[in-house]
Amino acid sequence: MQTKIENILDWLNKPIHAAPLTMFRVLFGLLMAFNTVRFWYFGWIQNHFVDPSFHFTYFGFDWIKPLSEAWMYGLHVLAFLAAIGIMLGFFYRLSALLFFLLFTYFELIDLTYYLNHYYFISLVSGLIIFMPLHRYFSLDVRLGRVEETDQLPRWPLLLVQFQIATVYIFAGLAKMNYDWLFQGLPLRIWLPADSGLPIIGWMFKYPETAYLFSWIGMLFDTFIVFFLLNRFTRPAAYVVVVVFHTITGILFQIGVFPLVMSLLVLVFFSESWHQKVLQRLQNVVYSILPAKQSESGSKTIDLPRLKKAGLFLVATYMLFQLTFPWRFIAYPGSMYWTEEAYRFGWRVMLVEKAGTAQFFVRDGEDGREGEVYNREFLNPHQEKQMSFQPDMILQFAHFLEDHYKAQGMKDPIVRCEAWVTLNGRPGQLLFDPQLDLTEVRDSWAPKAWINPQQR
Amino acid sequence: MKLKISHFPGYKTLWLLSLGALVFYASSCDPDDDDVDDNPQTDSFDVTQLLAAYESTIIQPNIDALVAAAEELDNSVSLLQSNPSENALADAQSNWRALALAYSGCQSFNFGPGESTFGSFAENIATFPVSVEKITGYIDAEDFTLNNFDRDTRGVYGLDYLLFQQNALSDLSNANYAAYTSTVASDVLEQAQELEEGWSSYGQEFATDAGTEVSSGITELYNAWIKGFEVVKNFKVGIPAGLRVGQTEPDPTQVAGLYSGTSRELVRNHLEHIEVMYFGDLLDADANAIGFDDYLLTTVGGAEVLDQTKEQWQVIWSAYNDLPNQPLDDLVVNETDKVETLYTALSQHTRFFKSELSSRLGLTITFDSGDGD
Repeated sequence: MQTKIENILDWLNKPIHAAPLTMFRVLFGLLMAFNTVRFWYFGWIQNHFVDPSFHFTYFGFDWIKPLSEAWMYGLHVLAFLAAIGIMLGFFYRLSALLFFLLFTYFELIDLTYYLNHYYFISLVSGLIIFMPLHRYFSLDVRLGRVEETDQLPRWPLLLVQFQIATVYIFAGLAKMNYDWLFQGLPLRIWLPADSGLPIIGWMFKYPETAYLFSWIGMLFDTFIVFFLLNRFTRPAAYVVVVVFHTITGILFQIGVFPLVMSLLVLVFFSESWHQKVLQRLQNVVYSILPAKQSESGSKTIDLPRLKKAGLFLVATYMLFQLTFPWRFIAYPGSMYWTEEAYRFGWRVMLVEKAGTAQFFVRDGEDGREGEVYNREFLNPHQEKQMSFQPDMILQFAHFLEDHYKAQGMKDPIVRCEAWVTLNGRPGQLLFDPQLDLTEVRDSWAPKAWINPQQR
Repeated sequence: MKLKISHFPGYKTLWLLSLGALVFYASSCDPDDDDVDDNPQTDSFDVTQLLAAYESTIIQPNIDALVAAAEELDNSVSLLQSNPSENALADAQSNWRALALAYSGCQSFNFGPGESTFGSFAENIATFPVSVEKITGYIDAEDFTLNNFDRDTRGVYGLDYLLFQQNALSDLSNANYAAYTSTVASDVLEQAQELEEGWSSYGQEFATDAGTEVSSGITELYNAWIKGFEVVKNFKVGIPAGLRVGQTEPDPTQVAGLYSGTSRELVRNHLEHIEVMYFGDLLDADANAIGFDDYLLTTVGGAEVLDQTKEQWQVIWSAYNDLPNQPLDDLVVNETDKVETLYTALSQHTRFFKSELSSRLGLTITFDSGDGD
């Protein structure tokens, strides 16, 4: 056993050229800087964090609150600088730590804006804190803050590749369901809406296109990583990656996700390929800022090895990533309907779901009931996301209970009539509209109060 | 030696375990769905046809009618200002009714040229209830500029007060009151003309935009239309009836058209507009009128939703027609149950607009949405 672990550690610590991970660092930092600017540009700092009077919180994270407007903008400036720091390898560890903390903080403020690719970004930015990605072609090297080396251990590269593979493969597996493969849903709903697109739009009016795209999407997500790992299929696979993500980027409102994945999967390319690309980049940079003597040649130093404790942590992390998406097995019914165990499972663009949730509050004292105008407390995006997600409905009900108690209402009873439609099925009541939601508490346990999906 | 994954100790066992686990995972997903879609998509739909039809047969004509009505009213108010008399007032009041009816046909046009930095068209032209105190304050201060954000002192419903309040005729003999009324009437005309002018250039862009993203023509139209429905349900019926949480009793002063006694009629006009925007005509009276219903029929599960929507419209109209022919401000006090029945019918209709329709048409219902994945 001891020997086997040592063998594993030797294998994970074997040196590889620093180029692939250095390129990954530069691209990740650049993308995150762009993402932060884009977020500001679209006014989402204001819309998501400043304007709403109520925020939906993640279970167990209700202590995370937005700060004042000035702070929220200021923290985004800091996140931008941290991303630039990652890209340049400038105070790298601090930059990575700062970016991870800030980005994750932003994401934890409001459950409304949960996205798989934001989760991915949080994970990657957390992982790279522990990786020595600033030892080559970085400002930290140039400023003499760290010693340069063109050899890094293998485990960081494998961990990054593992993380990307997790996203794709689980996304592919999630598509192996009856609706996606045999009903062509939700693409049969989404694609015709894009039939007005120039050049390719004509094909989207045919249901057959939805079926074809569904199968292609499933096969792509499930297997693309394996084709990227193989050096013979890698170039063609990368072309497929770019085409696939470009098309999904045009068809759906998925922001930077296609760009992030298209660039980060380059980490699957060979060391020699990365060395060539990096060399060109270095030539450009050094034509502006001449290289120091120490930067011009190759240099190898012994970096701290991954030890047993580190291996244990890496293995635990990987095990978590591999098992957490499976937790849906512990919940009865379809997770697409109940939403239980749906998040953090790489279920990307998987269902078309919409709902209308109308809340009614009854004064426990005089029995008078009135309807809540959700827009008084929620922005349209919050209302839309809440309307089909039971845990968010419950949170809002408890907020209303507290709100109207504070207004002087005695023992308010909050009920909700939530009609939800999933993948074109007729709308169905999500739960009993007479249920007093103030009596229901959220937990990890299955939500027995949710009606079973009827069709 | 070049490193390969096969050099990883025990990789074969891991590989087999992983493969088995993944197959199990995949087979665990959604095992029992067997009747998802009894109503398969049957035909394609050209969104630009719908938009072009709406633009040419509903939007432009309705805005033109609004401008014409606003001109008539502005003229009659000018005459009233120069020569206040019972006849002149009656004439202006008649023109106000025509204006209110014409505006009802433009309730959903708060996008494109109907949306500006200073608020939507509806906010600028049709805020209700009005503040008598503020109106009186501006008149007393001889401030006729309207250079303020007190939208509850002007617009269609500002004129409702100025022309229909009990002492309107005698007050119109007051030069300041008459001047303020004239200013408000001219402002309504100006706002309507700006909308008309805006649509003369935006119309083509709107009618040819086949996209479904947040800024596309159909999404803008759809979102404005939904808001229009919520205005009639919540603000024209719900709040006057005291059905908003926290209200302890009906509040008749909250109706639209309080002073003219047209509140019930205005609810009907508004609902008819919402219906026209759904079917291209009143409950599809003209089978050739293209509308959202035709689009819905071409989508997955659309026919069933359309049938349910039509049924609910019947319930709404039945509830509306059951109301005695009195202003809504009286009804919310004297016919509480009947008004509540109408409100419930409207409430039950919400889902057909907000989720069932948008979900099947692939429209984005939010205005400030971030990304999705």
